[in-house]
Amino acid sequence: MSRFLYYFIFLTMFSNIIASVPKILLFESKKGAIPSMIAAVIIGTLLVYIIVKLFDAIPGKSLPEMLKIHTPKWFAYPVLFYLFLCWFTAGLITLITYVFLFITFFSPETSIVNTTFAFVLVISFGVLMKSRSMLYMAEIVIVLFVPLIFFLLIKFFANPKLDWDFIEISMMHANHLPSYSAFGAALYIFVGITNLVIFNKLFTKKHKMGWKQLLIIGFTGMVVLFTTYFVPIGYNGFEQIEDFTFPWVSTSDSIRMKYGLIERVIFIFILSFLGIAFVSLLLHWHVALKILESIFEFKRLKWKGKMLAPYIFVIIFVVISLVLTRKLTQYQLFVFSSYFYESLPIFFTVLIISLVIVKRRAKL
Amino acid sequence: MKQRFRNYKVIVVVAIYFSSVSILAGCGFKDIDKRVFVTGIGIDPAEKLEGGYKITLKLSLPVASIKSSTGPNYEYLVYEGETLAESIRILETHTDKVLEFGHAKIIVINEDLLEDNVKDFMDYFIRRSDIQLIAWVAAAKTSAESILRVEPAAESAVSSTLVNFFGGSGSDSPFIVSTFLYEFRRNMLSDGIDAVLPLVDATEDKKELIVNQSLVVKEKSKPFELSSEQSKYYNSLLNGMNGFSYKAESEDLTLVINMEKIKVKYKILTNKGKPTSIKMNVKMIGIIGQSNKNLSLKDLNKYDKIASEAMKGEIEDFLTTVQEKNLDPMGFGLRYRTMMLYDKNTNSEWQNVYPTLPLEVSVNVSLKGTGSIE
Repeated sequence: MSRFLYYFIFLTMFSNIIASVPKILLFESKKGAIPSMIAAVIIGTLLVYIIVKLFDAIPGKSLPEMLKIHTPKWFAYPVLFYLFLCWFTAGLITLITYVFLFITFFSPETSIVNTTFAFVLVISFGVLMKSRSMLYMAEIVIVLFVPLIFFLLIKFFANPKLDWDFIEISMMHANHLPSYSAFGAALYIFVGITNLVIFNKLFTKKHKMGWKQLLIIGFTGMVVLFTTYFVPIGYNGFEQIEDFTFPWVSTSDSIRMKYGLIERVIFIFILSFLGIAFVSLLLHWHVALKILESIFEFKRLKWKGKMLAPYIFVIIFVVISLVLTRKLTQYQLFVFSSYFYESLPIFFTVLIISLVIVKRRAKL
Repeated sequence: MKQRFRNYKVIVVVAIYFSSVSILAGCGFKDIDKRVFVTGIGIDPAEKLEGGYKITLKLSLPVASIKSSTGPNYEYLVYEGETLAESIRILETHTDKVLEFGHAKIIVINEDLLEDNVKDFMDYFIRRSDIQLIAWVAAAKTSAESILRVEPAAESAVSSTLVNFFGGSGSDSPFIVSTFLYEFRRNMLSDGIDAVLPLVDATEDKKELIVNQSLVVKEKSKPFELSSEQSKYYNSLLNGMNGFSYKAESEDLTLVINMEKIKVKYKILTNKGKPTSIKMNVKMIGIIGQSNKNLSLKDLNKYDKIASEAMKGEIEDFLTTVQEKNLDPMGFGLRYRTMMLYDKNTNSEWQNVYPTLPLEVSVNVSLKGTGSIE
């Protein structure tokens, strides 16, 4: 498996802490979050396997190209549009959650429009990059931030104030039926691999996908989910954990670096996850943009030999996110992201079915 | 070619101009000289208002340079109001600068307030995202305001004495219990554990602070005061805090032991799912710091026994005292809840049994030496 595939997977895994995943999981903590997480790890790993295997059949081509060649129009375009919506929402949720978090904890006095605008400005330049540069950027960010995140994780786990009794109590709630919304949220961490829809264009070799690779992905997913779910409980207790709007940020504020450069870990935490969340957001929106471009090809919209369509799309992205960050309340965001996560099984089904169809038709 | 390049430049410049207009419209930041840092928050019951609070904010005044300043400069803002948020909003109008809470490292609460409305004002601290969850919480004897107002002579500029007591960064003693805000909230609101706060007192002339007692806080019951000895055992057992002066006496021998390491293991023994007893195993390693007689290194084993007996008595005394009051600072209830799958009766069951649950404490002290003299 190419190392870039791991980056896709890991970036989404790490950035789940910034999205609403922990909030939803912890909200369901007394209603069967644990069985849902176990189910999500098993099914998620399987899905990764299936998707990589299916993409192996169409090396060097992106899914929109394949769909357009091998399937009828009435099938290809709605599917592509649905996929676009999913990717765009995934990015949007990360963005809005991050903006909310940023103005709550980092600079409460800055207006929400300014904050969003500053974020979106950087992102829109990134989204317009070439797919290949995108991969290299992902690599750089991973190399820069993952050591920092590991350091933070060690801090989280090694702290004697982390009360394992609370974690064990929460494990004792395993005797519930799995909850669907928690399952959806937990499944989100495996979404990263689907970025192949566009990036498959850059991979011409077959991916090696065996037991070893599956174990690495499954195990990392398990560790990530374990951390996402149990660490906030260990620091903030089990009874009232669902009260927190940003459980992970509050948890990171519970760590003190006695002799550190900065005593409050929260600032290092927010900044390092800013990097991770940005790249995950960029990947999602880049894919969204590419799919959108493949749907609406405005060939006549040209200016000095350059296609204008992507720029227009990005401006639409920016406007939508500016409007939504202003309009949405935190509760609406929570409900909105719950719906999104709950729709993930449908997303996977649509993707896999269309891949299978492409594969069959291509061989005919 | 050149013509085209110029056109392009003009468009870029115009675009930059237009986009900067939207940014220039309002600057949300305030400069540091327009801010004043709150270093401590004190809460007392209001004197004039029924059911209200008296808020004291300790503001740290900036100094030109640490070298030239003679000591710390503080300003105190005091206001009585019905709620915390309201009082702080009013206090913002008592100063020309923005109150910056990001550096509030200590929250002092009058012990009378800890009986029933803790949740009420604790909510404000957690909700306000700029107050650190790693701020220390302490209970004040008599009045939080007077505790905050103590300015010991040993205090240096740009530092706060009260904060240095906690967390082992300054004073490091097993008598001092340190509690973070998040920890206090967690333990107070969870079933099966009760929060413990350090109790801060001042000397009579209001020149020095004393922190060696603590309070066990439980919702809807009067906080229970632990003596300094009991606080020390609580700290040693739960936080593994080590330190000096654990006293052991037998018929004619008095030893004072300096503990280096304390290891505590406990489990709850059950019979058919019902708790039957708490078994606690304590291992301590230390050296003898003082004695009233000449000691001999050969007899270390004998001293071990004496010390073990004495420690066992003290630990049992601490545990049974809190147990009789139906308080659980050690979190035995939590441990019990980890032992079985979730059932909504577990907690009430535990509550019924706990006050009369037998305790089995075994202490094993191993002394390494007698110091530099025998």
